[in-house]
Amino acid sequence: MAVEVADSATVLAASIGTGRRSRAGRVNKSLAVGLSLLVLIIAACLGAPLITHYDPTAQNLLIPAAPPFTYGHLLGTDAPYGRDVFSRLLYGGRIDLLIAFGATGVTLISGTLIGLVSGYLGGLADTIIMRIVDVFFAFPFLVLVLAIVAMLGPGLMSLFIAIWAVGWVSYARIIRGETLAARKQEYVLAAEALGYHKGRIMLRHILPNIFSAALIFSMVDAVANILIGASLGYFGLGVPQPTPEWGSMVADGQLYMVSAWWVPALPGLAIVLVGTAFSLTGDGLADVLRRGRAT
Amino acid sequence: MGWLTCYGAGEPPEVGAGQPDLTIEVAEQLAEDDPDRQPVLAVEDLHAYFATDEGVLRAVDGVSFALYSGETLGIVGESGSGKSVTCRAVIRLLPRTAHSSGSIEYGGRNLLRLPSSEIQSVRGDHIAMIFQDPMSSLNPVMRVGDQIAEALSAHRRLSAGERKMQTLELMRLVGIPAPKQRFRDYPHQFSGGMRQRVLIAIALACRPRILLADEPTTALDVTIQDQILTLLLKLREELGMSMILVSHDLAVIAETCDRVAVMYAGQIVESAPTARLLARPRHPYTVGLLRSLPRLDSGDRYLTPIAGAPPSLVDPPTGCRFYDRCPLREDACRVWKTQLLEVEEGHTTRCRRHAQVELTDA
Repeated sequence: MAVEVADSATVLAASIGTGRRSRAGRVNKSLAVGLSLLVLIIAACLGAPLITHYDPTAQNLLIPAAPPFTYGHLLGTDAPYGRDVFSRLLYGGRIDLLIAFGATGVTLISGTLIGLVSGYLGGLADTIIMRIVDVFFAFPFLVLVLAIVAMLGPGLMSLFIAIWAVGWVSYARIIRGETLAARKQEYVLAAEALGYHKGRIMLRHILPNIFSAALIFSMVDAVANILIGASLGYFGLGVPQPTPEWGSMVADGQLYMVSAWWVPALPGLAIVLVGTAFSLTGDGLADVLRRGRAT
Repeated sequence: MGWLTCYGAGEPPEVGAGQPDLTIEVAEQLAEDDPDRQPVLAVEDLHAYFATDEGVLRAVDGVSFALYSGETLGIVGESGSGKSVTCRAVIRLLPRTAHSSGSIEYGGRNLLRLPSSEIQSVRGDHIAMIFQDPMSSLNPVMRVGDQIAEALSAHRRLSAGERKMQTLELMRLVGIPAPKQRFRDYPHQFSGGMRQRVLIAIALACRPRILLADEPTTALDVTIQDQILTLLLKLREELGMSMILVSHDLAVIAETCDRVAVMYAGQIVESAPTARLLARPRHPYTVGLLRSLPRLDSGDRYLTPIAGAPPSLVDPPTGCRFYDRCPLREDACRVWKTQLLEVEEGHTTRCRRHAQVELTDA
C-alpha cells in the first residue's frame, strides 16, 4: 500500500514536472535495445564507404580465405576470390535492409487499407476481399513468392513484386478484425451521427486507433521478408552476382564451410542480428502501444 | 413541475391536488392556438425491425410524434422499450441488420427515403445527436480541440484561423474552462462531465435545428447531471433548437421537457404536456413509472415497483402489450386492437380504460 502511494506520488510528480508525459520517464528496454541496434546497423550499411575503403566486389586473388583479424581485413576475405568480408557484409546489408523496409512498407500500407475498407464497408466487398485472402493463405508464403519470382525471372525487382503481391494478406486480415471491433465503438457511431464521410471515418477515426496492431506485426514480417530475400539469394533467385547479398553470401560460402567457416557463418550471423533487432523493436512497440491503449 | 425534483432541494409538492404549473399551461395554450405552427420533425408510423436468430424483433412498432420548433420533447421508457432505436432511426444510424419503415418528415423530405449521400449531409448539419456514454463517444487518440474543429469543418469550408477561433468559441459556449489550454488535451485528460460538454460542443458545431440527446446524463453523477441538463436547456434556448431528450429517468424528463411521450414495448403508450402527464396520467404504465419514483414528500419508505417484465418483442401480444402487468386489465384488453385515444387536446393514451386510471397518492 505504502509502495503504491509512493509510486503514484512519483508518477504525479513526474507528470507535473514534464508537463503531460507521465510515461516518458520509463523507457522500454526491448524497444531501446532493438531500436538502437537497428539504427546502428542501418547507419553502418548506409555509411559503408566511410567505414571500409574496400570495394565489396574487388577481388584479391593473392589472399583468398584470409581468416578474421588478418591485417587490413577485419573479418577476413572470402574464398576463392579474396574479397573483403566486412565490406561485403556492409554493402550486402543495404540490399537486405532494402528488402526489409521496401517490401514490408508497401505491404503494410496496402494490406492495412484493404483490411480497413473490407472491415468497415462489409457486405459484398468484404466477402470478395476475404475470399481472395483465403486463397492466398491456402498456399505457403515461400512457395507463392518462389513461383512468382520464377515466373518474372531472378532479380531484386521480381522479389519486391512477389512480396508485394503476397504479403498484404496478413495485414488485411489483422486490420479487418480490428476494424470490425472498432466499428462498433461509440466514437465511430458518433462520427457517423455527425455526417462525416466514410473515408474520413476510416482514416481519421478508426485507423489511428487500430494501426498499432499492424505496426507490431510489420516488425515480425520484416524479419520474415529478410529471410525470404536471403532464401531466394541462397537459391540463386535473388540479386545476381557479384552484388553482395547475405543470402547469396551464405550460399556461396557453404562450399568452404570446413576450410573457411567465417565466409558462410558471418552473413548468417548478420541475418540473425537484424532479425533480433526487429523482433526486439516489435516486442517493445507491442508493450508500449498496448499499455497506451489500456489507459 | 418541481415535485419530481428528487435530487434534494425539492420544492413543496403540489401535484396531489391536481394543480399543474399555471404558467406552463398558459404557454401551451398560446402555442396551440397558433395555426402556423408547423412541426420541424414529423414521425409517422415508424417501424424498426431487427432480424435476430429468434425471429423478427419489433424494436419500434408504429411510433408517431411531432417535434415543434423550440420545444423539448421527452421520450421516456424502460430499457428495451425502443426509445434509443427510435432516436437513431431518425438519422438512420441503425445497424445494417435493421429494417425501418414509415415516414420521418424533415424539411419537406422523408428522411427514410433519402439516398445515403443526402442523409449524410443532414446528419450533424441539421440534426445532431449526443450519446449516452461520454467516455467512449470521443476518439481516444485525437486531441479534443481537433475533434471539435473537425465537426466544424465537416459540412462547411473554413480557414484554419476561423476554425480555431470558432472551436475556442464553442468550448467557451459549453463552459469548458481555459479552452486555450484544454484545446490540446486528449479525451482521457477530461472528466466525464467535461467530456459530455465536449460532445455537446461537437454536436452544436454546425448549429443543427434539432438535437437528439440519447440519455445524455445517464453515465454522469447526479450533480454533473444537473449541470449538463441546465446547459442543454440554456443552449437550446440560445440557439433556437428543438430537442428530443431520451431518458429512462422520469425525473430528468420532468425537469426539462415541454412534452413527454412514454414508450413501452416499442410503442408510445401515452403522450401529453409534461405538467399534465405528471398530474393526470391516463395510462397505467405511466402511473406505474410515477409510483416507482422516490418522492421526498410522501412518508413511504418503499417504492412501488411494476410487477412482471415487458413482453417479448419478437412475438408481442396481439392486444394491449401492458396487459400482463396491468392492475386494471380485463378480458377485453387482451384482444383490443390498441390505438392512441385522445383524452383531451394534446393528450393521448393507448389505454381503453383510461377513464379508470388514477394516480392514487399512496
